[in-house]
Amino acid sequence: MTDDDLALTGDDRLVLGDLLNHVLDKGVVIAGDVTISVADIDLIRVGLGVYITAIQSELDHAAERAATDADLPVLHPARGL
Amino acid sequence: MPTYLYCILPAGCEAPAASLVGVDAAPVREVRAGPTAAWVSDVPDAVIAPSVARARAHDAVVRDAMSRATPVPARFGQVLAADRDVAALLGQRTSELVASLERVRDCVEMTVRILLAAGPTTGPAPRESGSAYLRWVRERQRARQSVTDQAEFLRGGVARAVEDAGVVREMLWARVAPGARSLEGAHLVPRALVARHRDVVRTAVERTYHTKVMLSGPWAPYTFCAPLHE
Repeated sequence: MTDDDLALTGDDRLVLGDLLNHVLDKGVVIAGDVTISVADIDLIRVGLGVYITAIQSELDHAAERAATDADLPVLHPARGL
Repeated sequence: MPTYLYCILPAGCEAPAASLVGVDAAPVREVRAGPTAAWVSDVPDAVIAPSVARARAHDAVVRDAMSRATPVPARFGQVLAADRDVAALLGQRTSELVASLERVRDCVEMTVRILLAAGPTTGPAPRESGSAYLRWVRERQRARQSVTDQAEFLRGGVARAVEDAGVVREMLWARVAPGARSLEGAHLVPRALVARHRDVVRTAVERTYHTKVMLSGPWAPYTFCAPLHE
């Protein structure tokens, strides 16, 4: 795998949220005394905040697209489409 | 001086470059113990307060290690008294760590986030009568169920697509909470298939199911490396 292949891609806001989520909340723990400080909670809130902002803006764009594209098929999970 | 842990690699891998720095710009070094090696650096205190800059520095070291082999990434904040304590823990956990390295070997993690359409809105709870309130409760349950059904349907579709294409070794999906607006999954993807994985997921979600997917990665396989001690 080259350095280019390892380059992070994705929406910048999601990348920051995912970075905090991965580094602070996941990964192996071999020492039993990892201290989760109050500051962690603030950072996780930052992560959640950027997720929500990014997801909301995507939903808004999707709604705009749907409103201007009458041919866009609508997802109906209950009907198996 | 206390020792801060970033990740664990097979012992045969090349050591970190002398120029590589980690949290608070401290030089990164290797601590070997049997078949595994840890990448570590000095930190001034036993408790390291998290910050965005330190989280980025932690991940940058883990990402550098990925150029050697897929590491078992450590969770932020693990500080031991000295290198010999790191070596002792690696020795105690050898079999689990070797199994973890084998699980993620030659793979990276991709985060998959699929947007869910909101269920029908129910507004605030009515106060005028008990029957109106019960109707409202029923409608709210239906709206929530519709989001859950949608998530289940999309999860099944994407799982089938990536498995059929052979672009994923493992998948973990987060539980969809009531009111969730997205379905989130972590995919363990062979390094050589990252671009193909992106295409397969996008095609499955956007062309087949006509909804939006947001991908980020490749990450070190944090989600697939469970705590050994908590």
